[in-house]
Amino acid sequence: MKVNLTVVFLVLCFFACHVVIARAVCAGASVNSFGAKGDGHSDDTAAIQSAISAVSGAGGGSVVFGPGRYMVSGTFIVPQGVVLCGAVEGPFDVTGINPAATTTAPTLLITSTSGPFLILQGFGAGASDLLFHYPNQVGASASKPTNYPYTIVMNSPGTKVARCTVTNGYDFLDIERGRVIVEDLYIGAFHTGIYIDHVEDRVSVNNVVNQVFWDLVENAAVPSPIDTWVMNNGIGLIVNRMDSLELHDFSVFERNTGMLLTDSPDKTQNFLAGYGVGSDIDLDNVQYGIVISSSNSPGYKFTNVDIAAAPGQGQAAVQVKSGGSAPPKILINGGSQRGTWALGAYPAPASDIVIVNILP
Amino acid sequence: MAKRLQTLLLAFSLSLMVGCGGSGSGSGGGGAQASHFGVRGPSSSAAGFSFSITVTAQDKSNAVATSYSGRVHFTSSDPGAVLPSDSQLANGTATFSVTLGNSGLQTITATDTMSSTIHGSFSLTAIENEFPVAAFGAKGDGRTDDTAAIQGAINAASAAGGGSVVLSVARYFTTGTLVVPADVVLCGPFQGPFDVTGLNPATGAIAPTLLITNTSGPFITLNGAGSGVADLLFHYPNQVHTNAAAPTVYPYTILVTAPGTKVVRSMATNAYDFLDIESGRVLARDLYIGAFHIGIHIDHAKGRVTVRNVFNQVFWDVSENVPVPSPIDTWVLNNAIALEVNRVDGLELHDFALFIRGTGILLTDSPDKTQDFLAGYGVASGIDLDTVKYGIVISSSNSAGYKFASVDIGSTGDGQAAVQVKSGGSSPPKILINGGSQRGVWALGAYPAPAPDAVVVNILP
Repeated sequence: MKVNLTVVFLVLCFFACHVVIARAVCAGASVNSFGAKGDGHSDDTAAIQSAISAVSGAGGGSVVFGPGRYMVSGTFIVPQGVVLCGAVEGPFDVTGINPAATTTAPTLLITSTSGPFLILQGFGAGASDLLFHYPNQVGASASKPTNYPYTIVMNSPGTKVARCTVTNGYDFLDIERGRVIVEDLYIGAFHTGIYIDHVEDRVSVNNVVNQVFWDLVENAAVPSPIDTWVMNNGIGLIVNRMDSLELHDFSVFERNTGMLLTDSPDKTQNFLAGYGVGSDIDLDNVQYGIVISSSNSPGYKFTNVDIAAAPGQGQAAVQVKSGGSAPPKILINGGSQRGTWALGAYPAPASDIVIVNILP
Repeated sequence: MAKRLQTLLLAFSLSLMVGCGGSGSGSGGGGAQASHFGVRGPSSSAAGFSFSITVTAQDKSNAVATSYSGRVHFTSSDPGAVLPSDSQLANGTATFSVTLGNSGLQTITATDTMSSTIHGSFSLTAIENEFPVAAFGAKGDGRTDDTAAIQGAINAASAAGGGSVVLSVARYFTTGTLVVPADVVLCGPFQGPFDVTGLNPATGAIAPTLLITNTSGPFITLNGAGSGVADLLFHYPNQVHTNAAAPTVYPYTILVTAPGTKVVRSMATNAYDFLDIESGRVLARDLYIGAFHIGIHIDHAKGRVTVRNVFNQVFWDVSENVPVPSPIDTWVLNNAIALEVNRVDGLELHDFALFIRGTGILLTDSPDKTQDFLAGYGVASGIDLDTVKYGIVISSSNSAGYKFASVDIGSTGDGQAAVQVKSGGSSPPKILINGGSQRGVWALGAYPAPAPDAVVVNILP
């Protein structure tokens, strides 16, 4: 009986303590205890890899980054059950502070151009409460950005990316598996914010802001020269083949296209271009708001959509292309559009488009 | 982890162990020989800050070996640990202070100095960049003024480059105000928000609680990027009671003046004005707001503001166990506004609910016309405004207007209008209510004389 009581206590303590751990989502093995410096110039790649390997070897857990600037020359594969996380709750914003020079958050300074920086490769792998920054990216006065691979590739179901920020990224997040969660992200990526393909089952994207962080980092006025490139090339979200998309609270400022819903270049997948539901979409300062060239037969349904033309550069708020492998269907129920569109706000709609309840 | 919480856990563990020991005595095992040590402590601690552990000599059936007279030697997996010197126990048990130097999972082991077979250990996670307010002198006893101690912890976190300043489950009485600079988050030790159900937060510690008495300025000012508030309960112990005719005026509980800030998973009871967002790029979510006057006010917000999962409720009646409506509720029905939005670049508002307020949401222009952007626009969904005189009042917006989906608005019985669109003003208002319902009687009509740019569609009959 006494033994049982002790066991009961230990079990109680386990749960109680589990609940009361401060910042419980991010308690575990500190990269500092594996030799990471976080000083903004020492290469912490090997130390971080040691921490990931040790935590993975122990069965999984958190690899913790305190506020600091961890300069990294390599890339990482995050295995099953391992989460890279910051010790302070994100997402972080960047306002007139250069994350390469001043610590504002648990920050990874990324320099590798050889492959994706993080590959989430295993159930339960994740990244949370981190700031990703590319210190060698061009300045805001450049005419085009340096091309980097995706910051994060999600390659397994059951993975998540939450409460993170990227500044000066090129392509940020590539979702290549279903059953993943993405939420509370501030994305400063010049080219592609989020890309989705090869997704069997559902993907949830919640509370994502695609913003122009690079001008703020340098205290440059919008639009800077690099903004012109982004206005011609940047896309907030690309969706190719997937089973089902849940998209909520998605906003974009200054991109060529807010959302591109199209077919995959890889036609070997056994499911079609996706369908999904979206609400509370704010696409501000774009040439194209939503472009749809493909969907499976339920189509995409959006409510509360606000789309604003980039001054003097607007092409179409919603453009539905005809033909293609899966004729597109789209419903926009409720919203507004602002500014001048060269092709008209909703040009030559195909038969399977419904746009209703738009504010005058 | 903060010391006070550890003390609570410790008390918890001791009470159970006392139970175990009593049971042992009853079966005649009190004087049995020690076979091992039971070592107890918290599951986590802040690296660099001390915490308590207890060591108990136990016999083979885990009863306390009260006659143990040996000495205990301490070791740890953490080479940076500050451990007690070799010590004796008193009646088979004693409490010691330990400080870990390195973060991560660490083990602390107690071993008899003469017989290494008598030993015991436990593991805990040491967390870095964490600053327990108790380590800076905060008492959390509900009466000692902890303002300076908490500000001291905040300043230490700021000097260290940022981190979490952690309050325990205790009542921190304050007389002053706090400024939270860049990269410092003031937070509780576990996940909020908290609710009060028949408990008075001034007299019982039910959450990490700040008792606020200052009337000179906002209690907390978030004035640096990355600063924030999380998992806390704010209570005004000197506020009037529910039988009063009008509340005492207090400044805002939290004032946000910097972008990149957040207020999450927190709760206010007996506040007057709760949250004033005076900057864009701010995130407010998972809030239970018991404020008599204004729940959230937004102005001077260049860039987007996100407000999610906010519940404006009548917590004061609950904490005093009086029925709704109490006399103070009448004042609230005549004066309170759950959300007032002035000039903001883009509002994201979701899962916003209230019970009993004069006006649910007021979308209007700022008194400060010098701002270089107009009255806001935004998108909103999942709005539940229950028992109001006015649901949504809009007198101004920029040309994109406000778009709302799934809106339910219920009248007080002397309701005026579910949605009232005023004409004229600095920026003619536009609003879309797409999908919803309205209930009860409205003196002016549910949607009186809508201006041409009001669209109300898909309302349940």
